[in-house]
Amino acid sequence: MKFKNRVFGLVGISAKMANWNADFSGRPKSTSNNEIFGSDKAFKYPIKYLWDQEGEKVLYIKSFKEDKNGIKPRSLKERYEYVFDTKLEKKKKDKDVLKNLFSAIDVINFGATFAEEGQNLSITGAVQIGQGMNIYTDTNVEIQDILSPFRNPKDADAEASSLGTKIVVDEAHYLYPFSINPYVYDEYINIIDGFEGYTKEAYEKYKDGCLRGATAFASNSKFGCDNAYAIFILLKEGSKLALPNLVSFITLKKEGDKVIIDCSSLNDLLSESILKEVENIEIYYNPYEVEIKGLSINKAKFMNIFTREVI
Amino acid sequence: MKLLKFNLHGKTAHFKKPDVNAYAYYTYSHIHKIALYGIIGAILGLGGYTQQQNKQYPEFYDLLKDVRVGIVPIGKERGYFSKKMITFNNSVGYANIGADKAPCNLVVREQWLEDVSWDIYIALDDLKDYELKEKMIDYILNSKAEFLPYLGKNDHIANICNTQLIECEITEAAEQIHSLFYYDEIELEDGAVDEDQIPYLFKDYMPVALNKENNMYEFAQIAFTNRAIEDVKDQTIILDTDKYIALL
Repeated sequence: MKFKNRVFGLVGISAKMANWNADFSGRPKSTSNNEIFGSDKAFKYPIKYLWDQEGEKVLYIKSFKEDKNGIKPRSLKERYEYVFDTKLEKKKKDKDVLKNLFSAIDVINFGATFAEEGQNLSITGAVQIGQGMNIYTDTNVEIQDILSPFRNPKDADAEASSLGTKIVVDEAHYLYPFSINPYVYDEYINIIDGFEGYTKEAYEKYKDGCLRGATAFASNSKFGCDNAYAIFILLKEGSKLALPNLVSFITLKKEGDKVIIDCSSLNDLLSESILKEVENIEIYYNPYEVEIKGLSINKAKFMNIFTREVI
Repeated sequence: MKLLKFNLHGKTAHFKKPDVNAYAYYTYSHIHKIALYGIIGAILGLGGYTQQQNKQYPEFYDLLKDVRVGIVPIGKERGYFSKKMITFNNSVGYANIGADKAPCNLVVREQWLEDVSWDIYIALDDLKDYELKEKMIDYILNSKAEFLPYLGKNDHIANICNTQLIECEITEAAEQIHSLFYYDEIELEDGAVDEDQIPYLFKDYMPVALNKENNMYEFAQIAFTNRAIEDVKDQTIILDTDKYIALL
């Protein structure tokens, strides 16, 4: 079903004794004045991983194949042929390639850059995600030494096994802004048979990913990163309103063990004239750890992020 | 003359310099004319490079290229936003081929501008297309957009605020220029306007046009300074309350 509503939102991810997104020194990514942030890629990956695990078609994710030289990652062409179970040929029309691409859940959400076999396609995604800044002010980066079970083979005199480091933050709260513009694919509707643009199903799956992706993903460094809360502002069908980055309207503080999310600045942004264009506002949060304060808008509905039931 | 004025800001930005694509991607120090046209084109829903096909220019540039703009860096002394090299991986395996011809990891290094903010002026009188002008005023004043604008790449969200329609006079003489300007068009004195300040001059080659043949950037020296102005040659300067804005 074609989706016709623009959506603006926020996804909050908490990291406790974990490293959500490291740079190449192994420390959490940061700007030049040491504000910690997570990239949009770090946000998308667990969501794509979740989709992949649940049997959705995901094109842009690493997968391996075996050939005579051992195991290596699939190239884009190989991945395309594997996911869509077809041969990519030079003379095949762009149309069919586009149709296949849009049938992948990650492409219809995040777009694609596809350059293979004379097909040069670049699709801007409907979902656009900004940088997830850490909005908690008391974050510390912890560096722990860990012991490895092996001796350094390059050092003949080594008497003991080698050391490594594990770097985590004690606590950080990343906040990702996103926007969804469902009309971006409209230029393809007349080109691809049976294609209707961005769909409600794709949106529902993205939304599900925003509520579960980080929690479900447990690697060594991302264990301890959870989806804490998410806000979805759904505009009315056909509305062309563009809202600014919502991150600056949210402040976070801690009271004991509770995380308090103060949304009172959102009341100023969502003035009467803007609320006219808003269909509904949904706020999902983890009620055991998070409290949402200050939002005095009747259209807002509060839900439990785990059970999705209204609180 | 009538102008549309708004503030454009964001947490991070990256306006890619196309002249380097090895090792790292660098960014221009400020938003440049073409990128600004692109943002306005996105808001108005005009076609971009992808929709260009065999036309001479992408639609947004074709329609907006005669519109002069003023760009005022906000909140940063010397008109310089801090930059940081950000590194990330593209590990899907499609992006890079290693020495053994096998797919491998691509390490992308990208220079980002941080906490950027500019006041933007758009000379509406330069836009001859009446309908497009009305649409631009409507969309920007009422914060509507066909496509959501971003600062160079789509992970840097653009915020537009304090939008207003203003009337400004063109002035022949200015003691100081508060915006970016064409360096060749202005003769500067040695000292700063305010004698207690140390004079500074920021200069950079930035894109100002697309050429007809292959749409490559054409450059000009763009500058920003607190030095006093000796002579304004051909540079159009407008006065917005107490600020002198050069139109690029």
